[in-house]
Amino acid sequence: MVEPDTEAPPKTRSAPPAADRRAGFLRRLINRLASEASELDDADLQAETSAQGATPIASCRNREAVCILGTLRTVTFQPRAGVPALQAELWDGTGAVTVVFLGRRAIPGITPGRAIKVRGRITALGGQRVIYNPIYELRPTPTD
Amino acid sequence: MPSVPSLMGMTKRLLVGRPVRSEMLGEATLPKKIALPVFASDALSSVAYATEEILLVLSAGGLAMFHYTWYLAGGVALLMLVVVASYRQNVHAYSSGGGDYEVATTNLGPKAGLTVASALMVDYTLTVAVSTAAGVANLASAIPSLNGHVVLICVVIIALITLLNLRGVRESGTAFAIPTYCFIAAVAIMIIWGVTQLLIGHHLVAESANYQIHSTTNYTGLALGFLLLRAFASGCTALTGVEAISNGVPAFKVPKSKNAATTLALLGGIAVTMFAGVTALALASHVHTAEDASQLIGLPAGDTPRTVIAQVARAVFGDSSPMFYLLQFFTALILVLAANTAFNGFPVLASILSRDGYMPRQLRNRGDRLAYSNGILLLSALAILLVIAFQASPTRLIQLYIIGVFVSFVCSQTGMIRHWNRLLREETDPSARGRMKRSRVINSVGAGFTGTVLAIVLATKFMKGAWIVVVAMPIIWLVMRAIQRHYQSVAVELTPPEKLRPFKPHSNHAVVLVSKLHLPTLRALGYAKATRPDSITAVTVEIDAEEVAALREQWDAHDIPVPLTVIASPYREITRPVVEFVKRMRTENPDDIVTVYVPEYVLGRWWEQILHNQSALRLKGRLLYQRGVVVASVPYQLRSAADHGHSHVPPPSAPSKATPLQETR
Repeated sequence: MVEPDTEAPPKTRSAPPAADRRAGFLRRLINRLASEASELDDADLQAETSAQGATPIASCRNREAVCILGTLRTVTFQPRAGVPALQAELWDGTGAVTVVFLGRRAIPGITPGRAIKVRGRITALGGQRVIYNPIYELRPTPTD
Repeated sequence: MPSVPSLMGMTKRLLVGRPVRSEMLGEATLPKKIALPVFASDALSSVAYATEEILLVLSAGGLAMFHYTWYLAGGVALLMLVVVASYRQNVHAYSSGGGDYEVATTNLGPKAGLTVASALMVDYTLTVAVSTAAGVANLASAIPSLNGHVVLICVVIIALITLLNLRGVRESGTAFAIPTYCFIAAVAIMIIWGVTQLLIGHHLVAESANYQIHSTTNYTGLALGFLLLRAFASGCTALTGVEAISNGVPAFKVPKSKNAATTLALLGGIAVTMFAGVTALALASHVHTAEDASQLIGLPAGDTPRTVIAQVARAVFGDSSPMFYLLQFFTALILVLAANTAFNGFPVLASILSRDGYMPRQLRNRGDRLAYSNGILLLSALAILLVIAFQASPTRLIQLYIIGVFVSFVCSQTGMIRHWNRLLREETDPSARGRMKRSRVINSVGAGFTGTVLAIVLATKFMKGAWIVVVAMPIIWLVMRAIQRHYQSVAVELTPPEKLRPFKPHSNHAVVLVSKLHLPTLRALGYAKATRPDSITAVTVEIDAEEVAALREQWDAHDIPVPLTVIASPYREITRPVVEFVKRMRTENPDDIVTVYVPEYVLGRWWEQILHNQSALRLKGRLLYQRGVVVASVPYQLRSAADHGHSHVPPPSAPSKATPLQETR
């Protein structure tokens, strides 16, 4: 496991000016009513990403050491007869990356729907973005 | 083991009969002596109410108007002879059964052909409705207690005719020939007996001869002319049915055209004679009738006036003579059978329209008994609707009736004129040219007359109900055009390009939907592996974490060599996460095909099916719209399906743990 050498500069959202805030209230209300649930989730995830100082996946460069915050959409368990590896798809509202844990069949806590924070080097394999064996940190669920 | 017969199959066999092979189609043609009653019953039966319609319209001007009836009846008879002569040309020139539709399409273009088609369809539906309503009215004239239930009787009669037609042409032809001949005989006897009585000097007195008509308006000048034209237009209902023969030429025995032309001539002669005879007797016996029964002074309160032909029969034969009841019975019967003529014409027309793409494909082919079953059922449904909507009142229905027929007359006669022009351009043989010129003259006269009558009918009947037809016909026209456009655009879209190469995707990824590890899942996994995909994964949605944990344990315990992907479902849905997963697979590999294997339970009883497969069906429906995704249902027949199914299949033996998934590579 390689420690990340640089942290991406935290991106903070500047508060909109007061006039915009008043004008945008109606628009924000309509957006909240009309958006799909998944869009609202994505917006929440992006807000969390920038609050924690992590990098959105869409702005990660290839072979960069990154810190990514998101939820696991799917977890794939390999059969007993195959090579032991645990794969999970991590989604952070802007993009998806496949997280591969080599040598493990199952990791307690790595379950679908779980919010996690991973640090590792992001690469591309056959057009898909992958992180191998990252340092992972389980984020607290609301019931914890 | 013999299969268990179903109740529905047995009912169908009882009502409709055994299916008939296609080779028997030749047996479905009719000899002249049966074709005449089958096709002519419409035209002959309209004679039964044409006189009445003329008198009803004239009654608006009071009793004095009735003496114009002679001239109007004469005009109608002349028109009928002209139309019959014109149609004999049609029948010789176009003998494939398209009739007016084919003449118009070939000579005037597809739009005119479609106009004729919509006019004919409206006309056929109205024929069934009007004839049945008039038949039941005549029946109620003989048995007045039926007057309260006419709508119900009409619906039942239409259903019976439908059933007889579904049984096949040959049988219905014979069944319908006898009553028609009886009707012709009865009316002939009535006319001869009536004329004899008049010649002897014995006066004929109808029961309504003493009624006065309370008329409110005085008709002079232009209003009088308009009234006479309206009455003439009403009398033209006697012509309906003449086009049936030209639309049904394939039903005749060989030589088809000659037999059809002879039958037309016979039809014209008989119809004109009967019409003239009935009108003469009606006038001689002073039948008085009015459109609104309350205007008849002298009619007992609450009584419905009898039909004109009933009153003439009572006057000729006497009040309670058996001949009167027989004639009424046969009149009612032939009116009902006139509806049958429409059942011979409409399905053939619908089949031809379907062949050209204007109507849905289901109407194209003959059914079990070599009759066009779907067309027959459609016609009967529409007719029942009309009868209920107009409360089985013949007078109200007749207002809609004539327009469709005359539109088709005008179009087909005009088409024939163009047909002769086209042939004359190339024909050199003088005798053939002479024949063609003669035919052209006949058709021109026919076109001129019918065009005038059409204008008269439109002008006079518009407010009385003809506007419904004027509105309905263009709507039907537009709908048929839209259907044809749709079929054409689909055909263009599906045409393969010049260099026809089979479509081969880059790779095939298999996705097997799993909820529990049970026999259907194992079967689906085994089948998916058997298709040798490039990659395979089993997919389940995590709704309940414990269930997924149990599934994973079983997966490891059974040593299933397929990776298991668990999809998160934060909102407890099943369909959307799977569809999104499949979409993502496709986006990552756009050239590849994703095959989704869905285990499906097959159950015997209908109520069991509600309890299973619901999410699988929803998923299949959503995935159908994804490009590059194939959904394969892997069925698992439960015991109730095996018992209920058509063949006795032994229930599948339970497989051992590793058998279905043994790796063979």
